[in-house]
Amino acid sequence: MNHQMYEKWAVIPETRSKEETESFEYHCKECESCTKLAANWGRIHTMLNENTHITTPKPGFTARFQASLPARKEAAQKRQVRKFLWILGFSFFGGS
Amino acid sequence: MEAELQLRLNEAIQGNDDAFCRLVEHYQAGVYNLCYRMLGNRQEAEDAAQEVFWKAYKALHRYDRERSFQTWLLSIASHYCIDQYRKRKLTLVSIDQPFEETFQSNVPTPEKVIAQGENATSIETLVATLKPTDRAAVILRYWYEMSEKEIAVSLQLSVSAVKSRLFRARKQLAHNLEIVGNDSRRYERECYEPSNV
Repeated sequence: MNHQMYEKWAVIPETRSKEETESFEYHCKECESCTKLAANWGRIHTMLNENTHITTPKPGFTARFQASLPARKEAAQKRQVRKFLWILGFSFFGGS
Repeated sequence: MEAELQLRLNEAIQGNDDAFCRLVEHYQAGVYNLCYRMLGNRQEAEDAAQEVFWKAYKALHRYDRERSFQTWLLSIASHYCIDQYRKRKLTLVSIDQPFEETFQSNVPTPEKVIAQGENATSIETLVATLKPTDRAAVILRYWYEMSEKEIAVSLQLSVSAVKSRLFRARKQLAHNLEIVGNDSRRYERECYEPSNV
């Protein structure tokens, strides 16, 4: 069987059927790399389940966003005006 | 709570800034956390999260109400962080330095992870060794418990592409743990051998 299939079974064990698990375990008796891969993935999986806490921003995140809104809107508006003038100028001079 | 958020969302779409800020308050942790996991730095995560909400604010009229608002925000955040990561690398490329060398120097490799000492085997550090899109897929899968279909929608990939990225990422994480584990043990042996003490 294709070795990549065993590697897939090593890191995605939840998709294995009973027969596939048996086939994988039989393969692991002779394949050190798949045995290691499965063991390491097991450790990673545990780490992922234990360490997936949500990191929060410093207090005042929303206030900082709210305070930045007027400046952001003004800058966006200026960009819009510049874009409009550039298109106007281009169509005027480009057309003549 | 859900009805309250829906109400705020409707008000925000109609141009109510206060309502949008209530949404920022509610979703800030999720967006910030994704930026932090992607960029690995608190200040950059703060800047990125602020930018993500500004992008969402500007694009609110394009928001598809059939989609979850959180998934939509996380999609904007993922793309923004992937772009930031790529830009960060490009700006660090010097004309005097070979590209490969510069590129390599900014990517956290297992060897660099080992050098970071006690945090060497922390999952955050191992996830940081993945390519940006693979990292985003892993973060969305494990930190946000998204299905492969939801990840596909968020990252604008096909479901099969997500499956293949997750497979590659899992394999790489397991492989990197092997390298880190072996080198850490070797490092410990060298440090604590009687001749070295």
